[in-house]
Amino acid sequence: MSHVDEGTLHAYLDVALPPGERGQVDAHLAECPACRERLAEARALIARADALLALALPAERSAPPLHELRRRPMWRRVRWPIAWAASVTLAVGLGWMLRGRENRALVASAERDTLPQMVAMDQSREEPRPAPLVRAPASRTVAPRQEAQGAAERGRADSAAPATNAASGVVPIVTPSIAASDRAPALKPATPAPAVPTTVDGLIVTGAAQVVERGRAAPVLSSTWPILPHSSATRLLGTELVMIPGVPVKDIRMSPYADGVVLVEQEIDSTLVIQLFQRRADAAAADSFAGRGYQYQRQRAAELRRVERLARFVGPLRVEIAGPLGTDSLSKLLELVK
Amino acid sequence: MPDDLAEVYRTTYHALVRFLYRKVWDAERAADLAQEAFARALVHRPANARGWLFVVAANLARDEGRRRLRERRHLTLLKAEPETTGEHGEPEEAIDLETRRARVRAALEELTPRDREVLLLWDAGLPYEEIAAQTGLAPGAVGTTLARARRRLVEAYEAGSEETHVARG
Repeated sequence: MSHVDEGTLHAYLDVALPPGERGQVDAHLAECPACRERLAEARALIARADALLALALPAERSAPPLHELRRRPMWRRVRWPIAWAASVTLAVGLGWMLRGRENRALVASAERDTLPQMVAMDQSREEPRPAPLVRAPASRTVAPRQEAQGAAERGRADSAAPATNAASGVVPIVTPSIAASDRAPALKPATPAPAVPTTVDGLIVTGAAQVVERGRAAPVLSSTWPILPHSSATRLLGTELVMIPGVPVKDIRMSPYADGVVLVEQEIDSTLVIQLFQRRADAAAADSFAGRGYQYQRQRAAELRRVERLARFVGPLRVEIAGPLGTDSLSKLLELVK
Repeated sequence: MPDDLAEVYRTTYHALVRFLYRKVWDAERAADLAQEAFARALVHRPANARGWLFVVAANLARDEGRRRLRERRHLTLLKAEPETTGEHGEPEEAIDLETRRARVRAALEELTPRDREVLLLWDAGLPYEEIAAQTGLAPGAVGTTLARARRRLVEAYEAGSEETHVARG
Protein backbone atom coordinates (compact mmCIF):
# COMPACT_ATOMS: atom_id res chain seq x y z
CA MET A 1 0.00 0.00 0.00
CA SER A 2 1.19 3.48 -0.84
CA HIS A 3 1.48 6.20 1.78
CA VAL A 4 -1.66 7.18 3.57
CA ASP A 5 -3.04 10.58 2.65
CA GLU A 6 -3.85 13.13 5.31
CA GLY A 7 -7.61 12.84 4.93
CA THR A 8 -7.42 9.13 5.54
CA LEU A 9 -5.22 9.67 8.58
CA HIS A 10 -7.82 12.02 10.03
CA ALA A 11 -10.60 9.58 9.25
CA TYR A 12 -8.48 6.86 10.86
CA LEU A 13 -8.05 8.91 14.01
CA ASP A 14 -11.71 9.89 13.98
CA VAL A 15 -12.53 6.17 13.89
CA ALA A 16 -14.53 6.75 10.75
CA LEU A 17 -12.90 4.32 8.35
CA PRO A 18 -14.69 1.19 7.23
CA PRO A 19 -13.11 -1.87 8.89
CA GLY A 20 -11.42 -3.11 5.70
CA GLU A 21 -9.75 0.19 5.00
CA ARG A 22 -8.76 0.58 8.61
CA GLY A 23 -6.97 -2.75 8.46
CA GLN A 24 -5.01 -1.63 5.40
CA VAL A 25 -3.95 1.60 7.12
CA ASP A 26 -2.88 -0.36 10.19
CA ALA A 27 -0.79 -2.64 8.03
CA HIS A 28 0.88 0.25 6.26
CA LEU A 29 1.57 2.17 9.45
CA ALA A 30 3.26 -0.86 10.91
CA GLU A 31 5.94 -0.72 8.26
CA CYS A 32 6.16 3.00 7.40
CA PRO A 33 7.87 5.31 9.92
CA ALA A 34 7.11 8.35 7.75
CA CYS A 35 3.38 7.68 7.91
CA ARG A 36 3.60 7.02 11.63
CA GLU A 37 5.17 10.42 12.03
CA ARG A 38 2.43 12.03 9.94
CA LEU A 39 -0.12 10.18 12.02
CA ALA A 40 1.34 11.75 15.14
CA GLU A 41 1.18 15.16 13.49
CA ALA A 42 -2.42 14.61 12.51
CA ARG A 43 -3.21 13.55 16.06
CA ALA A 44 -1.63 16.70 17.43
CA LEU A 45 -3.50 18.84 14.91
CA ILE A 46 -6.81 17.29 15.86
CA ALA A 47 -6.10 17.81 19.54
CA ARG A 48 -5.17 21.43 18.89
CA ALA A 49 -8.28 22.11 16.79
CA ASP A 50 -10.50 20.47 19.40
CA ALA A 51 -8.88 22.58 22.10
CA LEU A 52 -9.53 25.74 20.11
CA LEU A 53 -13.15 24.83 19.54
CA ALA A 54 -13.48 24.15 23.24
CA LEU A 55 -12.59 27.79 23.84
CA ALA A 56 -15.73 28.78 21.98
CA LEU A 57 -18.41 27.16 24.06
CA PRO A 58 -21.63 28.73 25.22
CA ALA A 59 -22.30 28.74 28.91
CA GLU A 60 -24.16 25.52 29.44
CA ARG A 61 -27.66 25.85 30.72
CA SER A 62 -30.10 23.16 31.44
CA ALA A 63 -32.46 22.22 28.68
CA PRO A 64 -36.14 22.84 29.28
CA PRO A 65 -38.25 19.70 29.29
CA LEU A 66 -38.98 18.61 25.76
CA HIS A 67 -42.71 18.58 26.21
CA GLU A 68 -42.60 22.23 27.15
CA LEU A 69 -41.30 23.15 23.74
CA ARG A 70 -44.47 21.91 22.16
CA ARG A 71 -46.57 24.36 24.05
CA ARG A 72 -44.42 27.35 23.50
CA PRO A 73 -45.51 29.51 20.66
CA MET A 74 -43.00 30.66 18.14
CA TRP A 75 -42.50 34.13 19.41
CA ARG A 76 -41.45 32.82 22.76
CA ARG A 77 -38.56 31.02 21.29
CA VAL A 78 -37.62 33.44 18.60
CA ARG A 79 -36.63 36.74 19.99
CA TRP A 80 -38.20 39.82 18.64
CA PRO A 81 -36.43 41.31 15.73
CA ILE A 82 -34.57 44.37 16.61
CA ALA A 83 -36.60 47.51 16.46
CA TRP A 84 -36.82 49.38 13.29
CA ALA A 85 -34.00 51.72 12.86
CA ALA A 86 -35.60 55.02 12.32
CA SER A 87 -37.38 56.70 15.07
CA VAL A 88 -40.47 58.23 13.72
CA THR A 89 -43.31 60.09 15.19
CA LEU A 90 -46.01 57.57 15.49
CA ALA A 91 -49.46 58.17 16.57
CA VAL A 92 -52.09 55.65 17.22
CA GLY A 93 -55.53 56.95 16.76
CA LEU A 94 -58.06 54.95 18.53
CA GLY A 95 -61.00 56.79 17.13
CA TRP A 96 -61.40 54.01 14.64
CA MET A 97 -63.43 52.11 17.08
CA LEU A 98 -66.15 54.67 17.04
CA ARG A 99 -65.89 55.23 13.37
CA GLY A 100 -66.06 51.66 12.33
CA ARG A 101 -63.37 49.34 11.23
CA GLU A 102 -63.36 50.55 7.69
CA ASN A 103 -62.39 53.98 8.65
CA ARG A 104 -59.76 53.28 11.12
CA ALA A 105 -56.49 54.94 10.66
CA LEU A 106 -53.43 55.58 12.58
CA VAL A 107 -53.31 59.23 12.96
CA ALA A 108 -50.46 61.42 13.74
CA SER A 109 -50.76 64.46 15.75
CA ALA A 110 -48.13 66.82 16.75
CA GLU A 111 -47.21 69.63 18.94
CA ARG A 112 -47.34 72.90 17.16
CA ASP A 113 -43.63 73.11 16.72
CA THR A 114 -43.28 69.64 15.43
CA LEU A 115 -43.82 68.52 11.96
CA PRO A 116 -46.43 65.87 12.19
CA GLN A 117 -45.91 62.63 10.52
CA MET A 118 -47.89 59.71 9.63
CA VAL A 119 -46.54 56.31 9.67
CA ALA A 120 -47.87 53.46 7.80
CA MET A 121 -47.27 50.21 9.45
CA ASP A 122 -45.74 47.88 7.08
CA GLN A 123 -47.10 44.45 7.74
CA SER A 124 -44.29 42.73 6.02
CA ARG A 125 -42.39 40.45 8.32
CA GLU A 126 -39.65 39.75 5.97
CA GLU A 127 -38.50 43.23 5.32
CA PRO A 128 -39.11 45.40 8.29
CA ARG A 129 -37.54 48.65 7.44
CA PRO A 130 -37.77 52.04 8.91
CA ALA A 131 -40.96 53.71 7.99
CA PRO A 132 -40.84 53.34 4.26
CA LEU A 133 -44.11 55.09 3.87
CA VAL A 134 -43.39 58.13 5.87
CA ARG A 135 -44.05 60.92 3.54
CA ALA A 136 -42.27 63.64 5.35
CA PRO A 137 -38.80 63.63 6.77
CA ALA A 138 -38.57 64.10 10.48
CA SER A 139 -37.42 67.55 11.12
CA ARG A 140 -37.99 70.66 13.02
CA THR A 141 -36.18 72.84 10.61
CA VAL A 142 -37.65 74.98 7.93
CA ALA A 143 -36.17 73.42 4.87
CA PRO A 144 -37.46 69.91 5.38
CA ARG A 145 -40.78 71.39 6.19
CA GLN A 146 -40.86 72.70 2.66
CA GLU A 147 -39.98 69.26 1.50
CA ALA A 148 -42.74 67.88 3.59
CA GLN A 149 -45.10 70.23 2.00
CA GLY A 150 -43.94 69.01 -1.35
CA ALA A 151 -44.34 65.48 -0.22
CA ALA A 152 -47.78 66.21 0.99
CA GLU A 153 -48.68 67.69 -2.33
CA ARG A 154 -47.28 64.76 -4.16
CA GLY A 155 -49.26 62.60 -1.82
CA ARG A 156 -52.35 64.50 -2.69
CA ALA A 157 -51.66 64.02 -6.33
CA ASP A 158 -51.14 60.34 -6.20
CA SER A 159 -53.25 59.14 -3.37
CA ALA A 160 -55.88 61.74 -2.86
CA ALA A 161 -54.28 62.84 0.33
CA PRO A 162 -55.95 65.73 1.99
CA ALA A 163 -54.98 69.20 1.01
CA THR A 164 -52.88 70.91 3.54
CA ASN A 165 -52.53 74.55 3.96
CA ALA A 166 -48.92 74.98 4.75
CA ALA A 167 -48.79 78.45 3.28
CA SER A 168 -51.05 79.78 5.96
CA GLY A 169 -48.87 78.34 8.62
CA VAL A 170 -51.01 75.39 9.45
CA VAL A 171 -48.81 72.45 9.89
CA PRO A 172 -49.70 69.85 7.39
CA ILE A 173 -50.76 66.44 8.45
CA VAL A 174 -49.33 64.14 5.94
CA THR A 175 -51.57 61.39 5.00
CA PRO A 176 -50.06 58.04 4.49
CA SER A 177 -50.82 55.43 2.10
CA ILE A 178 -50.97 52.60 4.48
CA ALA A 179 -49.75 49.25 3.51
CA ALA A 180 -52.69 47.01 3.53
CA SER A 181 -52.23 43.41 4.19
CA ASP A 182 -54.42 40.47 3.65
CA ARG A 183 -54.71 40.07 7.36
CA ALA A 184 -55.86 43.50 8.28
CA PRO A 185 -58.51 45.57 6.70
CA ALA A 186 -57.14 48.17 4.40
CA LEU A 187 -56.45 51.28 6.33
CA LYS A 188 -57.95 54.29 4.76
CA PRO A 189 -56.22 57.62 4.57
CA ALA A 190 -56.95 59.73 7.56
CA THR A 191 -59.53 62.35 7.47
CA PRO A 192 -57.91 65.66 6.67
CA ALA A 193 -56.98 67.01 10.02
CA PRO A 194 -55.97 70.42 11.17
CA ALA A 195 -52.90 70.90 13.24
CA VAL A 196 -54.74 70.34 16.45
CA PRO A 197 -56.26 66.95 16.04
CA THR A 198 -59.60 67.80 17.44
CA THR A 199 -61.46 66.27 14.57
CA VAL A 200 -60.19 62.87 15.38
CA ASP A 201 -62.43 61.32 17.91
CA GLY A 202 -61.14 58.91 20.41
CA LEU A 203 -57.72 58.92 21.89
CA ILE A 204 -54.60 60.11 20.30
CA VAL A 205 -51.22 59.02 21.32
CA THR A 206 -48.20 60.83 20.16
CA GLY A 207 -44.60 60.29 20.59
CA ALA A 208 -41.52 59.07 18.91
CA ALA A 209 -42.11 55.41 18.59
CA GLN A 210 -40.39 52.57 16.98
CA VAL A 211 -42.53 49.94 15.55
CA VAL A 212 -40.95 46.76 16.65
CA GLU A 213 -42.97 44.42 14.63
CA ARG A 214 -46.52 43.98 13.66
CA GLY A 215 -48.30 40.84 12.81
CA ARG A 216 -47.09 38.84 15.72
CA ALA A 217 -49.07 37.65 18.61
CA ALA A 218 -48.62 39.02 22.05
CA PRO A 219 -45.05 39.18 23.23
CA VAL A 220 -45.46 37.28 26.43
CA LEU A 221 -46.58 33.75 26.44
CA SER A 222 -50.21 33.98 27.31
CA SER A 223 -51.66 30.81 25.91
CA THR A 224 -50.64 28.99 29.05
CA TRP A 225 -52.24 31.65 31.17
CA PRO A 226 -55.76 30.51 32.05
CA ILE A 227 -58.59 32.73 30.94
CA LEU A 228 -60.45 34.24 33.81
CA PRO A 229 -63.91 35.74 34.11
CA HIS A 230 -63.84 39.43 34.76
CA SER A 231 -65.43 38.99 38.17
CA SER A 232 -62.82 36.47 39.28
CA ALA A 233 -60.03 38.72 38.14
CA THR A 234 -61.50 41.57 40.13
CA ARG A 235 -61.75 39.33 43.15
CA LEU A 236 -58.18 38.18 42.70
CA LEU A 237 -56.88 41.70 42.60
CA GLY A 238 -59.26 42.93 45.26
CA THR A 239 -60.04 45.89 43.07
CA GLU A 240 -61.34 46.71 39.64
CA LEU A 241 -59.07 45.88 36.74
CA VAL A 242 -57.38 48.70 34.94
CA MET A 243 -57.22 48.99 31.19
CA ILE A 244 -56.72 51.40 28.37
CA PRO A 245 -60.08 53.06 27.87
CA GLY A 246 -61.74 52.63 24.52
CA VAL A 247 -59.77 49.61 23.41
CA PRO A 248 -61.59 46.29 23.15
CA VAL A 249 -60.54 43.70 25.68
CA LYS A 250 -59.48 40.51 24.02
CA ASP A 251 -59.26 38.45 27.14
CA ILE A 252 -58.42 38.44 30.80
CA ARG A 253 -55.97 35.88 32.05
CA MET A 254 -54.34 34.81 35.22
CA SER A 255 -50.70 34.05 35.73
CA PRO A 256 -50.03 30.32 35.97
CA TYR A 257 -47.35 31.06 38.54
CA ALA A 258 -49.73 31.69 41.40
CA ASP A 259 -48.26 35.11 41.88
CA GLY A 260 -51.49 37.01 41.69
CA VAL A 261 -50.76 38.59 38.34
CA VAL A 262 -53.71 39.28 36.11
CA LEU A 263 -53.19 39.93 32.45
CA VAL A 264 -55.56 42.03 30.39
CA GLU A 265 -55.01 41.78 26.68
CA GLN A 266 -56.43 44.56 24.62
CA GLU A 267 -56.64 44.47 20.89
CA ILE A 268 -55.92 47.69 19.06
CA ASP A 269 -56.31 45.75 15.90
CA SER A 270 -56.11 42.15 14.88
CA THR A 271 -52.34 42.19 14.81
CA LEU A 272 -51.62 44.60 17.61
CA VAL A 273 -52.32 43.36 21.08
CA ILE A 274 -51.32 45.31 24.13
CA GLN A 275 -50.85 43.44 27.36
CA LEU A 276 -51.40 44.90 30.78
CA PHE A 277 -50.02 42.88 33.63
CA GLN A 278 -51.41 43.93 36.93
CA ARG A 279 -50.92 42.92 40.46
CA ARG A 280 -51.53 44.30 43.90
CA ALA A 281 -48.76 46.75 44.55
CA ASP A 282 -48.25 45.37 48.04
CA ALA A 283 -47.79 41.90 46.57
CA ALA A 284 -45.41 43.29 43.99
CA ALA A 285 -43.38 44.97 46.68
CA ALA A 286 -43.14 41.79 48.64
CA ASP A 287 -42.10 39.87 45.62
CA SER A 288 -38.72 38.40 46.17
CA PHE A 289 -39.19 35.16 44.35
CA ALA A 290 -38.71 33.60 47.72
CA GLY A 291 -40.15 30.17 47.93
CA ARG A 292 -40.41 29.80 44.24
CA GLY A 293 -38.56 27.28 42.19
CA TYR A 294 -35.43 28.15 40.35
CA GLN A 295 -36.97 27.01 37.12
CA TYR A 296 -39.77 29.42 37.53
CA GLN A 297 -37.40 32.22 38.26
CA ARG A 298 -35.39 31.56 35.19
CA GLN A 299 -38.36 31.33 32.97
CA ARG A 300 -39.90 34.44 34.34
CA ALA A 301 -36.64 36.33 34.07
CA ALA A 302 -36.35 35.31 30.46
CA GLU A 303 -39.82 36.51 29.74
CA LEU A 304 -39.20 39.81 31.37
CA ARG A 305 -35.94 40.36 29.65
CA ARG A 306 -37.21 39.81 26.20
CA VAL A 307 -40.05 42.17 26.23
CA GLU A 308 -40.23 45.87 26.41
CA ARG A 309 -41.84 46.37 29.76
CA LEU A 310 -42.85 49.54 31.47
CA ALA A 311 -44.64 49.80 34.74
CA ARG A 312 -46.54 52.28 36.83
CA PHE A 313 -48.77 52.27 39.82
CA VAL A 314 -52.46 52.78 39.34
CA GLY A 315 -54.27 52.98 42.63
CA PRO A 316 -53.46 49.84 44.56
CA LEU A 317 -52.12 48.11 41.48
CA ARG A 318 -48.79 47.87 39.85
CA VAL A 319 -49.33 47.71 36.11
CA GLU A 320 -46.87 46.64 33.48
CA ILE A 321 -47.47 47.15 29.82
CA ALA A 322 -46.12 45.13 26.95
CA GLY A 323 -46.77 45.14 23.28
CA PRO A 324 -45.17 45.21 19.88
CA LEU A 325 -44.54 48.91 20.00
CA GLY A 326 -41.61 51.04 20.92
CA THR A 327 -40.97 52.21 24.43
CA ASP A 328 -42.38 55.61 23.83
CA SER A 329 -45.69 54.42 22.47
CA LEU A 330 -46.06 51.92 25.27
CA SER A 331 -45.28 54.64 27.74
CA LYS A 332 -47.98 56.84 26.27
CA LEU A 333 -50.47 54.01 26.34
CA LEU A 334 -49.55 53.24 29.90
CA GLU A 335 -50.31 56.81 30.87
CA LEU A 336 -53.84 56.30 29.60
CA VAL A 337 -54.48 53.28 31.75
CA LYS A 338 -57.27 53.73 34.25
CA MET B 1 -41.14 7.76 18.03
CA PRO B 2 -41.69 10.28 20.83
CA ASP B 3 -39.30 8.26 22.92
CA ASP B 4 -36.78 8.44 20.13
CA LEU B 5 -37.03 12.17 19.99
CA ALA B 6 -36.79 12.41 23.74
CA GLU B 7 -33.61 10.40 23.58
CA VAL B 8 -32.22 12.57 20.80
CA TYR B 9 -33.14 15.60 22.84
CA ARG B 10 -31.29 14.27 25.84
CA THR B 11 -28.17 13.37 23.92
CA THR B 12 -28.08 16.08 21.29
CA TYR B 13 -29.54 19.25 22.75
CA HIS B 14 -26.28 20.63 24.08
CA ALA B 15 -24.41 19.67 20.94
CA LEU B 16 -27.00 21.51 18.89
CA VAL B 17 -26.71 24.59 21.09
CA ARG B 18 -22.94 24.45 20.71
CA PHE B 19 -23.26 24.10 16.95
CA LEU B 20 -25.59 27.08 16.80
CA TYR B 21 -23.54 29.13 19.19
CA ARG B 22 -20.63 29.04 16.80
CA LYS B 23 -22.87 30.43 14.12
CA VAL B 24 -24.76 33.11 15.98
CA TRP B 25 -22.28 33.75 18.81
CA ASP B 26 -24.94 34.40 21.35
CA ALA B 27 -25.58 31.69 23.92
CA GLU B 28 -29.15 32.61 24.60
CA ARG B 29 -29.98 32.93 20.95
CA ALA B 30 -28.35 29.60 20.25
CA ALA B 31 -30.53 27.99 22.92
CA ASP B 32 -33.62 29.65 21.45
CA LEU B 33 -32.86 28.33 17.99
CA ALA B 34 -32.06 24.86 19.27
CA GLN B 35 -35.37 24.76 21.08
CA GLU B 36 -37.11 26.00 17.98
CA ALA B 37 -35.53 23.19 15.98
CA PHE B 38 -36.73 20.61 18.50
CA ALA B 39 -40.18 22.14 18.60
CA ARG B 40 -40.36 21.71 14.85
CA ALA B 41 -39.15 18.13 15.18
CA LEU B 42 -42.02 17.50 17.57
CA VAL B 43 -44.36 18.53 14.80
CA HIS B 44 -42.62 16.95 11.84
CA ARG B 45 -41.41 13.74 13.44
CA PRO B 46 -38.51 13.26 11.06
CA ALA B 47 -37.17 9.75 10.61
CA ASN B 48 -33.55 10.69 11.18
CA ALA B 49 -34.18 13.20 13.90
CA ARG B 50 -30.61 14.10 14.64
CA GLY B 51 -29.57 14.81 11.07
CA TRP B 52 -32.81 16.62 10.45
CA LEU B 53 -32.29 18.82 13.51
CA PHE B 54 -28.88 19.95 12.35
CA VAL B 55 -30.23 20.80 8.92
CA VAL B 56 -33.04 22.84 10.45
CA ALA B 57 -30.67 24.46 12.91
CA ALA B 58 -28.27 25.43 10.16
CA ASN B 59 -31.13 26.97 8.23
CA LEU B 60 -32.40 28.84 11.26
CA ALA B 61 -28.93 30.18 11.91
CA ARG B 62 -28.55 31.23 8.30
CA ASP B 63 -31.89 33.03 8.27
CA GLU B 64 -30.87 34.71 11.46
CA GLY B 65 -27.61 35.81 9.90
CA ARG B 66 -29.37 37.22 6.88
CA ARG B 67 -31.83 39.11 8.95
CA ARG B 68 -29.13 40.59 11.05
CA LEU B 69 -27.21 41.61 8.02
CA ARG B 70 -30.28 43.20 6.58
CA GLU B 71 -30.87 45.10 9.71
CA ARG B 72 -27.30 46.21 9.72
CA ARG B 73 -27.11 45.16 13.26
CA HIS B 74 -24.51 42.59 12.63
CA LEU B 75 -22.56 42.30 15.77
CA THR B 76 -19.05 43.47 15.66
CA LEU B 77 -16.96 40.53 14.80
CA LEU B 78 -14.38 41.00 17.41
CA LYS B 79 -14.55 42.59 20.73
CA ALA B 80 -12.13 45.33 21.55
CA GLU B 81 -8.48 44.77 21.00
CA PRO B 82 -7.05 42.27 23.40
CA GLU B 83 -6.09 43.80 26.66
CA THR B 84 -2.44 44.61 26.80
CA THR B 85 -1.95 43.82 30.39
CA GLY B 86 1.35 42.67 31.71
CA GLU B 87 4.70 42.47 30.01
CA HIS B 88 5.37 41.04 26.61
CA GLY B 89 5.95 37.36 26.40
CA GLU B 90 3.18 36.57 28.77
CA PRO B 91 1.90 33.02 28.53
CA GLU B 92 -1.22 32.39 26.56
CA GLU B 93 -3.01 31.36 29.73
CA ALA B 94 -2.83 34.93 30.90
CA ILE B 95 -4.85 36.16 27.95
CA ASP B 96 -8.37 36.25 29.07
CA LEU B 97 -10.88 33.74 27.87
CA GLU B 98 -12.99 36.27 26.07
CA THR B 99 -10.10 37.30 23.89
CA ARG B 100 -9.33 33.73 22.99
CA ARG B 101 -12.95 33.08 22.22
CA ALA B 102 -12.97 36.07 19.90
CA ARG B 103 -9.87 34.76 18.19
CA VAL B 104 -11.41 31.35 17.69
CA ARG B 105 -14.44 33.02 16.23
CA ALA B 106 -12.32 35.08 13.86
CA ALA B 107 -10.34 32.01 12.89
CA LEU B 108 -13.50 30.01 12.22
CA GLU B 109 -14.81 32.74 10.03
CA GLU B 110 -11.73 32.53 7.89
CA LEU B 111 -12.62 28.99 6.87
CA THR B 112 -14.65 28.40 3.77
CA PRO B 113 -18.32 27.87 4.61
CA ARG B 114 -18.14 24.20 3.77
CA ASP B 115 -14.98 23.54 5.74
CA ARG B 116 -16.48 25.34 8.70
CA GLU B 117 -19.73 23.45 8.45
CA VAL B 118 -17.98 20.10 8.33
CA LEU B 119 -15.84 21.00 11.32
CA LEU B 120 -18.78 22.21 13.38
CA LEU B 121 -20.88 19.19 12.51
CA TRP B 122 -18.04 16.90 13.48
CA ASP B 123 -17.59 18.76 16.72
CA ALA B 124 -21.30 18.43 17.37
CA GLY B 125 -20.87 14.69 17.25
CA LEU B 126 -22.16 13.76 13.83
CA PRO B 127 -20.51 10.78 12.15
CA TYR B 128 -18.82 11.08 8.77
CA GLU B 129 -21.79 9.62 6.88
CA GLU B 130 -24.19 12.18 8.25
CA ILE B 131 -21.76 15.00 7.66
CA ALA B 132 -21.42 13.82 4.08
CA ALA B 133 -25.18 13.65 3.66
CA GLN B 134 -25.64 17.14 5.02
CA THR B 135 -22.91 18.89 3.17
CA GLY B 136 -23.14 17.02 -0.10
CA LEU B 137 -19.59 15.76 0.20
CA ALA B 138 -18.63 12.26 -0.84
CA PRO B 139 -18.17 10.19 2.33
CA GLY B 140 -14.54 9.66 1.42
CA ALA B 141 -13.97 13.42 1.24
CA VAL B 142 -15.01 14.19 4.78
CA GLY B 143 -11.64 13.22 6.24
CA THR B 144 -9.79 15.40 3.77
CA THR B 145 -12.12 18.31 4.39
CA LEU B 146 -11.80 17.93 8.14
CA ALA B 147 -8.04 17.76 7.90
CA ARG B 148 -7.96 20.99 5.92
CA ALA B 149 -10.47 22.70 8.19
CA ARG B 150 -8.52 21.80 11.30
CA ARG B 151 -5.24 22.96 9.85
CA ARG B 152 -6.72 26.24 8.70
CA LEU B 153 -8.40 26.83 12.01
CA VAL B 154 -5.15 26.36 13.89
CA GLU B 155 -3.20 28.44 11.39
CA ALA B 156 -5.70 31.27 11.40
CA TYR B 157 -5.83 31.27 15.18
CA GLU B 158 -2.10 31.39 15.51
CA ALA B 159 -1.77 34.06 12.85
CA GLY B 160 -4.27 36.13 14.82
CA SER B 161 -2.28 35.59 17.99
CA GLU B 162 0.99 36.55 16.32
CA GLU B 163 -0.55 39.73 15.01
CA THR B 164 -1.47 40.62 18.53
CA HIS B 165 1.99 39.93 19.79
CA VAL B 166 3.54 41.97 16.99
CA ALA B 167 1.14 44.76 17.69
CA ARG B 168 2.21 44.76 21.28
CA GLY B 169 5.81 45.04 20.18
